[in-house]
Amino acid sequence: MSLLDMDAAIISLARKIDIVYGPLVDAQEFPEDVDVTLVEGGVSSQDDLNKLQKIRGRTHLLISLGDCAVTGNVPAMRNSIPVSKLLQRVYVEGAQENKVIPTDRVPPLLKHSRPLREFVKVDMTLPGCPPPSKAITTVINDLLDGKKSELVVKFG
Amino acid sequence: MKRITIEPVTRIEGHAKITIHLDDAGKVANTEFHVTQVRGFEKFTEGRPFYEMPGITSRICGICPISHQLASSKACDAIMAVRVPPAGRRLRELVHCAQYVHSHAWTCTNGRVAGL
Repeated sequence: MSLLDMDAAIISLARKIDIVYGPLVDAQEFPEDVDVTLVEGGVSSQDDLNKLQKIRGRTHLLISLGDCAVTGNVPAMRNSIPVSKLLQRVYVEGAQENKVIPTDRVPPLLKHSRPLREFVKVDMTLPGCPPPSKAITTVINDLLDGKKSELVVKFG
Repeated sequence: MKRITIEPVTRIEGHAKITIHLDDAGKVANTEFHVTQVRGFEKFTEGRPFYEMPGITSRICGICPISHQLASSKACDAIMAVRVPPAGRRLRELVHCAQYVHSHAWTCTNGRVAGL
C-alpha cells in the first residue's frame, strides 16, 4: 500500500524500471537476475522461508521493507505462544462451524515469526509501520542514480 | 481425478490459493479455497491492555486500517462506558470516509489494472 501511496510518482518511475515479480504483475515464478527486490513481511511459515531463500538467490540487492521484515513487528507478537495453541484459538475456538485446524495444502507455521535478516543477507533496510511512501521513492530513485541512500526514515 | 492449483490468486493481493478438482470427464467436481497465511491476532492480543487494540488491530490490513481502528475504539468506549462528543464522532466519520476515498482510488487505478 505504501508503495502505491506514491500516487502519480509511480508513472514517471514506471518509465525507468521494469517490475518483474510481485502483486502488481502476473508472474508465476520469481525470475533470475533481478536487480532490486523489496521484500515485505516477516518469515512466519515454511513457505515464506522457501520463497525468501529463492528470492535471495536470484536478486542482487535485497531490501527489507517495513517493520515486519526489519524487526518482526506485529506478526512476531505470536512468538511467545505455542503454535498449536494459536491455531486452536483461531480455527477451533474462533470458528462457528467446521472446527478443524487445516493442515492439507496450507504451509506449516514456523515456531516463531522472525525478520528477514535472521535467514538471509539483507542489503538495505527500509523500516516503518508503514514505511513512508516518500522513503520508498527516495530509496528507489537513489538506486537509479547509483547512490546509497542516507537514513530516510526517522522515528516519531 | 485431476487437480489444478492457482497460487497466488489475482485478488486480495495474492494471499490465498485455489484448488480445482476435476473428475475423469474433465468437469469440475469440487473447488477449495485455502488461506495460506495466519498471523493469530485473535490469540496474541489476549491479555494485553485494551487501549493497545486500536494500534494493534489497525495493522491487520493496509487498505482498511481505519475500520479496524474505529471498531477497536468503539470497543474501548464500551469498556470504559464513555460517549464520544459530537465533534469526535464526526471526525471519526470523516476519517472513515477518507479511507473509502483512498481505497477506491487505489482499487480503480492499481487494483483493477494490475489484477490485484
